[in-house]
Amino acid sequence: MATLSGAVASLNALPMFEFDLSSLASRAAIEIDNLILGQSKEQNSIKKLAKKLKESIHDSYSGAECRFLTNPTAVTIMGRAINKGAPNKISSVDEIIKQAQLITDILNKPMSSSDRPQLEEIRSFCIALSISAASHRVSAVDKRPKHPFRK
Amino acid sequence: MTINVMALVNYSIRRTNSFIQEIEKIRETDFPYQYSEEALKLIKVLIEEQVKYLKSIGPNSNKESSKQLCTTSLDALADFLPLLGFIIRSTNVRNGFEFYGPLLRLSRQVLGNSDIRLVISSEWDYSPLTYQEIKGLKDFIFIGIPATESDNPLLIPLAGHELGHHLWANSTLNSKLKTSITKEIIKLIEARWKEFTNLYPNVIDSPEDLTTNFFAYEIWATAVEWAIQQSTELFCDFIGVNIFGEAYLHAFAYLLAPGMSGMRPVGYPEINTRIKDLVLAANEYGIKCTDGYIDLYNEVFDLDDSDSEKKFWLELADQAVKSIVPELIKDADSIVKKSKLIGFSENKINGILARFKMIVPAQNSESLQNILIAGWRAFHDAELWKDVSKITDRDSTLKELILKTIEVFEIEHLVKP
Repeated sequence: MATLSGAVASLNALPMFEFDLSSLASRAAIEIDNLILGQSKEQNSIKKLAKKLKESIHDSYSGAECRFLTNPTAVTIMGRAINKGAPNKISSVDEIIKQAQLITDILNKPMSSSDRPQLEEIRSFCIALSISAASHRVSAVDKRPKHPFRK
Repeated sequence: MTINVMALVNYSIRRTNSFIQEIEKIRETDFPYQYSEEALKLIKVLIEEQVKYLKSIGPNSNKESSKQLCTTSLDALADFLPLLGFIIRSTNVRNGFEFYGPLLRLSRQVLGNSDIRLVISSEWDYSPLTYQEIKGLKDFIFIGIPATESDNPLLIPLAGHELGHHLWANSTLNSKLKTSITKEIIKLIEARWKEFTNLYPNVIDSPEDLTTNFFAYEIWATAVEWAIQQSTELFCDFIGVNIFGEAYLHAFAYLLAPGMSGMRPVGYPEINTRIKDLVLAANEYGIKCTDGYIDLYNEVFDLDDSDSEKKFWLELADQAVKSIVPELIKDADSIVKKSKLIGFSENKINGILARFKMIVPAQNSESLQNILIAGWRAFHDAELWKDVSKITDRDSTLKELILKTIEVFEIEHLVKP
């Protein structure tokens, strides 16, 4: 309460967005990899990820008065993932959201192993997104003051 | 010997399987109520899903994808392990099982969800805590009370704060307030533009870029998060005091006054500010606050000057939160009112208190809140049982009396036509 309300829920700073985003994105990366290798056609996590991203982009766009202000965290997590490894980093928030929209559209469509370069690109994005969301997680250990006797 | 990613995947599968085996062992325990066991079953399903994905990795799989899946599977084990401990401790006899039923009903009514599954545990952590928004365990509420106080009914009101977290998560408050807070943070940065540019030279040229430049965005988003976390904590306090009235104020002070020392966690308002806002909310709700209550807590400490960045953002977050306190007070009130929860009444409280003075459990208490407020009034009554020589341990007698009254309240509910 005073120091630890919501331990797993320390993720409650950003409900429903990054809680399992990291895990979901890493599973989507594995599914894409399996598609590339022709090992499996399962796209369950890919579709779930697309849905989650779509919701957060919609959240970022909602509100006519200040369209970018509704979910700064979602934009930050996606922006970091999009910029990771990119030769030219995107500095425009508008552009970040457009890119995220583009990726979401690709994730939403049925994927096939025929377009390998695109699959590899999306796989890299999923890994970067998983890392970005994970680094954003406030773990219970980080949130509460460290116990003086505990090393 | 060469070690490769497949070895890492093998480690991940094995440690995840160990986790699953541990769940199976715990499931052999006797559970006082069904929801602890139900939570275990669901956690097992979630963890088993990890194994399925780990097993789909082969020698030709992409190394980075494989490593990241191992990372997230490791995160899952680290996240869920404390929850397993929590579930084991929910079976401990030091828990006050007498108040489980009434608290479950109260939780369901406040949250407007008859599927709520409550798990209460005695925790080896001094602060009460809750686990929430756990994937796959949507309707579960886990409330942990410090082991040394877990059978103390006078601290039940603190569960009101933890219910507040679930109300917050299930409402649109987060997105609604995020907009107000973000606007306020932007306004505050503009007002302290010189300090901002001193801290972050060469990021952006003008305040207009604050909302359009991603790198500026990344910087101030932290302050928004801190402000949201602080707002959540205040909202939860307001929910607690709205539901449990003065009993929440006393329980809070009993457990936490004058405030812990050490560095202030950024996600919490400074203790003195928090208490002033709590008292403000109590006044708004027409709840009597004992004279001198605020003085029980420590004064505001100056923020650490050595970290100028943190100091800057924390000051901004604090100011942004201040601007929405009246809104939070109103929101908490309207949410509790909407739930149509039976609250507390002076008449009932006095009736219960009169029975306590006679060392007899009360009947027809009408609500858990009435019992707890009467309990706290008895606790503070210096004259209580002063002349009863047979009572050697006043606190323990009062505790038993409150618990018995809660049991009577529960039985009345169970036999109600």
